[in-house]
Amino acid sequence: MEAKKFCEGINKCKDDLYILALAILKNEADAEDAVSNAILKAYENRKQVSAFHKFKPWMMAITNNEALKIKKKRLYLPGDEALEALSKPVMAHYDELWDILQNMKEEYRLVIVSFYYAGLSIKDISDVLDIPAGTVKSRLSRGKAELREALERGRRNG
Amino acid sequence: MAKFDREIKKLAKEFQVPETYHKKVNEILDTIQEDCVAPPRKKLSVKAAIVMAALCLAVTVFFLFSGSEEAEASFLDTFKQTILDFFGMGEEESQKIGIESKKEDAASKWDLMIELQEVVMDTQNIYTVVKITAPPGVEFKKGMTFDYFGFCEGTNYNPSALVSGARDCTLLEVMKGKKNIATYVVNIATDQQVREGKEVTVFFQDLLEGPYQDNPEVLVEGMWSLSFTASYTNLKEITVKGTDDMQYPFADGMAQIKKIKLLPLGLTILSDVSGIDEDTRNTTDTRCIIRFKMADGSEILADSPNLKDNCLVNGGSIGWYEKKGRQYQKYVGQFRKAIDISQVRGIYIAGCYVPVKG
Repeated sequence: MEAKKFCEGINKCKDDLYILALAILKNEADAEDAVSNAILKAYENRKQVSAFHKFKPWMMAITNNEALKIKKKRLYLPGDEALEALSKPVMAHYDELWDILQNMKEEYRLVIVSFYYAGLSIKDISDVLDIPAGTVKSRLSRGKAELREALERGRRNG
Repeated sequence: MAKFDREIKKLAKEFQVPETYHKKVNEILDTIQEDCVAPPRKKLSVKAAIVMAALCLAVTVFFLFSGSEEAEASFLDTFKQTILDFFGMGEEESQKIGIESKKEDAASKWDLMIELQEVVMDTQNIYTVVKITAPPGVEFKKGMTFDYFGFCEGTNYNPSALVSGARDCTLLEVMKGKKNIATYVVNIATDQQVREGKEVTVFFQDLLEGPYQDNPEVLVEGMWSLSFTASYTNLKEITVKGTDDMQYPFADGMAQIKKIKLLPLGLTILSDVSGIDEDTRNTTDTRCIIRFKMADGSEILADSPNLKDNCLVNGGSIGWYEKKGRQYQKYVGQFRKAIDISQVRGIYIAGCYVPVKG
């Protein structure tokens, strides 16, 4: 894949990459770092995109890995990096849907974000999150039920 | 599409991605595109092409011969240290502790020849010794490492199959008289157990000097990978099941020890942290004081939140998962040197004593 085509691909899906990373890390600065790392790694290994058939799910899988790496690392780091990670501000998103997602279990949140925000198919979500398609369906169904309930509750309470 | 789905998609579109992020991505993409603007290639005449081909052939033949000579020399003839030295023990002691190293034989491409020589592996640790031959102008020294390295499942580098965990790449020895040849130990402590029989790939990207300096120098650019079949060479382990009264203070509550696995090269502590608020857990330093009580009455400080303490645990990871409505924390620690686990009589975790029957 040429650099130009790669950059075009990133521009098309960059918002989805950020949202996935933020759904995992709940921290804007960390999410930005995760996507930056993912873009650089993906560019260096862009020949492998054919194995994933589609550019966006491939990029999302790499972003998912990078975000998980940061999540693990920031909690158990020798040296000052742990303190540095903890000192980064957590910016709140005053967005009704996002606020509900923030309080949802991560396993549901990631499937909901991949489905509704990134518009991925069940098969692609299964590849990105490395879980069976059946698990994606059940998490999506439970996540949707929670979402519906939370939205209705929010509207009842004004 | 159901009405609800349409409503959610509409709400999802309202999400605002910060401008700082767009700026950052644009900067990265600009760098990528700038790097790719290469000068136009000059056409070669037929004569020049023939001369070039002959030169390439001569260089290839030269390297092929020098390569075969290299292959004839055994690992122990050229380097004194082995992976057992890295663990701080001799062959006899390693047998007592239960660690065996498995000889491996795999080589990468040649702008930087990387050969896999030894593997030590258990359910949570992978150690590999690789011999690296760099171009003659490169001299290995402390502070030289790879920009990116690690392990993944499969026979090739695959970013979607990475083995997660704390990784390290350490220079073990530089060959006497040939400073462009060295051995490195590449290791990982993972809570994601790699099953025996699976193919594993150890990969490296860009050899550089001064990785923590402002401008690290890339000495050899490229990606290299070597694969091997997972097989546990260390079979000794002690598993202790926790009881209800085995609790230790963690964050703003108490964690209950469910299981401890002790290996000569590391330990895993599985705790039930259901009573602790998730947000508090995510913003708390997860380290606590862990001590081993040994058979001779001595104590070993395994881990401590105080960075100045000289601990046995060199690195590790913390992971969380949920099972049947309960929240669990998995701590994985990797030791800086191997220990004889049959001599461990008990483990103190933040003051909570867990007896060990070796």
